Amino acid sequence: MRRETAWRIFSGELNLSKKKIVQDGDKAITYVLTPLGAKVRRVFLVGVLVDVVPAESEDGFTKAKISDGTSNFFIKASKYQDSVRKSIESLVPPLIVSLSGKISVYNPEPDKFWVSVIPENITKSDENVRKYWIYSVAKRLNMRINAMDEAKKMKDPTVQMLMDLGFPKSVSENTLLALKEYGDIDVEPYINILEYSLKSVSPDYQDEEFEIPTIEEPEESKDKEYENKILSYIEKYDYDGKGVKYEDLREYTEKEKISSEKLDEILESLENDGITYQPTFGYIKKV
Amino acid sequence: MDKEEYNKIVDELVSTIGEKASRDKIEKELNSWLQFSGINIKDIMKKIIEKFNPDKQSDALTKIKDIESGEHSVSLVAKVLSINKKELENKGNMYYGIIADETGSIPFTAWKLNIEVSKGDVIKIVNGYTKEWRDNVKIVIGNYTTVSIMPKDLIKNVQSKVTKFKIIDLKPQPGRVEIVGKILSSSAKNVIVDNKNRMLYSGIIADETGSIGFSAWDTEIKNNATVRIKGAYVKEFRKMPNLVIDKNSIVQYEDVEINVKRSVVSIENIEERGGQDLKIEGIILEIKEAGVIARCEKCKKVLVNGLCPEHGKVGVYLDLRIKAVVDDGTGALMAIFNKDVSEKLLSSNFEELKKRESENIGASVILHDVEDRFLFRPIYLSGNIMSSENGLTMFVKDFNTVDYTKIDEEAEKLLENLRW
Repeated sequence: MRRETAWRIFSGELNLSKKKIVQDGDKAITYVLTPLGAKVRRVFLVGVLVDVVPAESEDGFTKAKISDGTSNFFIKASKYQDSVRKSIESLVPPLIVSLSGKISVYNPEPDKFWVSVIPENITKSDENVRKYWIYSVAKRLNMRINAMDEAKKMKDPTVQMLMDLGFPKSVSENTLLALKEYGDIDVEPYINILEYSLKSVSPDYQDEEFEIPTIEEPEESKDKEYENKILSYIEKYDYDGKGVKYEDLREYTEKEKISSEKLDEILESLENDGITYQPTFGYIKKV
Repeated sequence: MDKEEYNKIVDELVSTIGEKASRDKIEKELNSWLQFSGINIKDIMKKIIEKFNPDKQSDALTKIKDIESGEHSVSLVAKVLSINKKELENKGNMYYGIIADETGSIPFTAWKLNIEVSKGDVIKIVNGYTKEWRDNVKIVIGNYTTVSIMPKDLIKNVQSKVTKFKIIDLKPQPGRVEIVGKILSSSAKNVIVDNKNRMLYSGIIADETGSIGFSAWDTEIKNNATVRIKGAYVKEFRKMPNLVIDKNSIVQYEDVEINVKRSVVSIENIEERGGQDLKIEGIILEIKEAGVIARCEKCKKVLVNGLCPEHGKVGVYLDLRIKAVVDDGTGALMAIFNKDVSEKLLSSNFEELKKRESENIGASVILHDVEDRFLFRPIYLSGNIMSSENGLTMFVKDFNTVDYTKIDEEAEKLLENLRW
């Protein structure tokens, strides 16, 4: 069995993805396709660990954020990645780390698309390796930008036409796949990412500012966070064993900036999962 | 199609069909076909001839230089330059090779053969079809194709097509190739083949894109020279491509210097191929094994549960080996470091390492040492790379760590070229 290539890609490009490609075989494999034609299943990344949130329970996720300057990689480790999960929890940010992992896509509705990384291994790293990584990612990004640029200039681009210009077969194929899936994209944002990251390893430009594209954090993680808040409120304020009043809960969640729709959605899912129930109308109680 | 071409086609049809149909009738038939775009004109002509004069059909032989891809029916006489058999699982045999006539050569594949065909035979193929294959056209001998053996003197001089290649693109394939390269090494040895004493020169030839091992039969290949080799072919040898120079090849020495500064190759470019003496740059992504291993004293195979798979219970020979997954962002391979290279990587010697391992039994000290120092770190590796269905395996001859001080400079160069 061939090993999936560990892609070298900036989080800034990865997080702009809106499409996944499911390849059927013995086992269906899901790839994330970036608008520039990176078709990613595994990644190798080096960046600054900026945030670690340990799992609250055995079944929860340990989450971490690794910044590469262009955006963040969202790392998510469950009990199935026990040893790497423990490693992550033992690290104290900020710290340069190297990580290998598989891509996971959360795509609850068509226009919501979040990419996170399920880690396979993590180690402490250093500034040299970080620079090396940025430069090697930049070289590949540059190639993808050029291939996309050329393909956009052609009337009916084919894999062969791109290969004739010297692009490798896989790059040519994936560029055309991205063109098909995303249509005509603007490469300018990617040139900005490329330029910024190259400047970040070049001493002449070290202090230049760059506007990091804002990427919304995965909704999934917020849901879990809200859910935890709601659950602990229900536990804490159930003084008499009758449960908590829905109105009180609603007042609390408003303060916490959780919308009433979200509250209802979470309550429904908690009830469906058998975690809470309504002993009497308008009261919610933990099982 | 312009008027002139159209008239030429009509003329040809009229002369082939003769008195069996009038010019008007032929033209009407032709026009009824031409209203549909995308049908090969040769196929149309065959259909028309078939309709008006079926007897003529069998005579419509094509020359190889005129064969195009996507033809539904071609017939020709050609000489078999090579024929190979491939056994397919549950599907019997398929054959492939090259045939040639005075005008050119073309690869063929046959899903079945109604008669036995060998190299050197002159054959007549009736009702084959053509397909595009690796940018070349090939003839397919299918279920409705018949093959018959013809007198050998029907085709005397064959023209074989030679394709120019850069060395990095050479892989085992039918067809003759032309390359220009510098001989990095060459040594002669005497080999007895079919009771005949023959000279075999073997070594490595390289250009600015890569290198390949060669075997030259009865042709002296001089070391350090720049040569143009025409009409050699590429065969798999020890799971790597090998350039074979035989009596049909031409070797010309040239007075030019080739820059063979061994450049780093991307793993994606050698994926189905492997190669000799290649250099890659990648990250050590996973260390599969690192430590002392026990081999059979007789055959050096690794012992399984203390037994040699071939010789059973045997004397033990201890060895040192590191196996690691190396990934360059375009592909991955399994790198195997033998004792010498492992010692260099660990900056230690075998005796010392064995001692440390035996003092800390079960603690995998060597493995942890390699992990601490090299996991997720970049490295340059050089050596032979073999390709199999399990992917690529590299036998590391040497390694280098990455010079981080050059990154600034290279990043700046890339930056300067942006937006131009």
